[in-house]
Amino acid sequence: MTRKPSRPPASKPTSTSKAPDPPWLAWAMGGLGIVLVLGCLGVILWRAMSEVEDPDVQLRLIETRPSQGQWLAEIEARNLGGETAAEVEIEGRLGDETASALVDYLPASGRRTVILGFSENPEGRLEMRTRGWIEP
Amino acid sequence: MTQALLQDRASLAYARDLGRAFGGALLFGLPLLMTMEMWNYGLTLDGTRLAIFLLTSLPLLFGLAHFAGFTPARSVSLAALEVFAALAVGFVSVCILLALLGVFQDVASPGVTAGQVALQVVPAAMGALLARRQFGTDRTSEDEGEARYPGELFLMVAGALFLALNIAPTEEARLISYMMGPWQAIALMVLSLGLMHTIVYMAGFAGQEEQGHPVSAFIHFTLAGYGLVLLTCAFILWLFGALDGHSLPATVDALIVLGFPGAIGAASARLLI
Repeated sequence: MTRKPSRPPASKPTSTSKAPDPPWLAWAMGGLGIVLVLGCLGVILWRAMSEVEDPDVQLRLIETRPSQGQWLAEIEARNLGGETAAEVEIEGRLGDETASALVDYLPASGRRTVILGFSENPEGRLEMRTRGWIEP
Repeated sequence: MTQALLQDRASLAYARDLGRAFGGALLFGLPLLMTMEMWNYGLTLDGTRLAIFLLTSLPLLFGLAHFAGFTPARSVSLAALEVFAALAVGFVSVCILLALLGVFQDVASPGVTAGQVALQVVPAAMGALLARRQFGTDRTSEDEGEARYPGELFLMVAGALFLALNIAPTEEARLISYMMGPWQAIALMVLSLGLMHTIVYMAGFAGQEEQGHPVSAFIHFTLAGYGLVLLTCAFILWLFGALDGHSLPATVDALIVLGFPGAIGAASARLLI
């Protein structure tokens, strides 16, 4: 029978100068590192395997509220696509009145909040659209 | 008579250490003091997150004072005293520099100014504590060998913070993660781990002599360190609100991008700290 690599004897020459550190901590921290690295790898591969779609910006009116002589419309911009959109220009139209805002980055599957200002309450009458964006 | 002379000599030595501390605060603080995004974070940063950042920085600074303070302090109370001295040094140098650079001029409320200063004080205080290592000639080998495994991990976190904090607030850090494809992200992660392992070995971490087997050294130091680097980066990105509204894949990309300087910083912690 071949000799099995057994636990080193207590008089290990390398650990004479210091008391040995608890090995469970080293293994636990190493395990944490492995889990995080494999987790990141899994998420990236999962995204790489799934079909990457162009940015798909969806706008939804969250609420309207009066503020300092004007009405503010709070809009949620969501990017349902698989690519990030940069400098997304979002426009709201209320009759003849238009308001717009520029979102610097709208990450893939991410969301940002946009506020547009109008002279009247835009509740129920607001038309929203995305004018364009840049691929980063 | 001789006692008075000794006291004079001691205060002179402390004044020299303090001067070094100001130098360290500038060396580490300048890149962030001259970054536009950092001034704006004074306006936009969530107060709760800023408070959590300041509170978590206290044990970090304490650990740094223990391992690499600007005076050779080795007792708990002296290390605590050094932390507060370093914070004072950081506060003074940040206020002077930001005022000199004209950052304060358009600011409306004192709350914004306080936010701008508070955010910068922590890196400057880190620099003040590291001053002895940056400018001092009195490096002793007993300091080097003192850190045990938890201490090594702590130094890695501090090193990761050292570099990642300088890069995290810039817009480039976000833009890079949006520009990268999945294969580039994986390659960057592999490169981070490879470089980290190489530097850890070259810088002569304790792992070299204690963990004779390269595989266990890789797991115990490189992988464990990289895991902590990713967590540190997640904390920094969360602090700056850079993960808000991000999906899981976008978060992972951002972590890997910031994890690259973080890994280099963690691996070279032995050289920096």
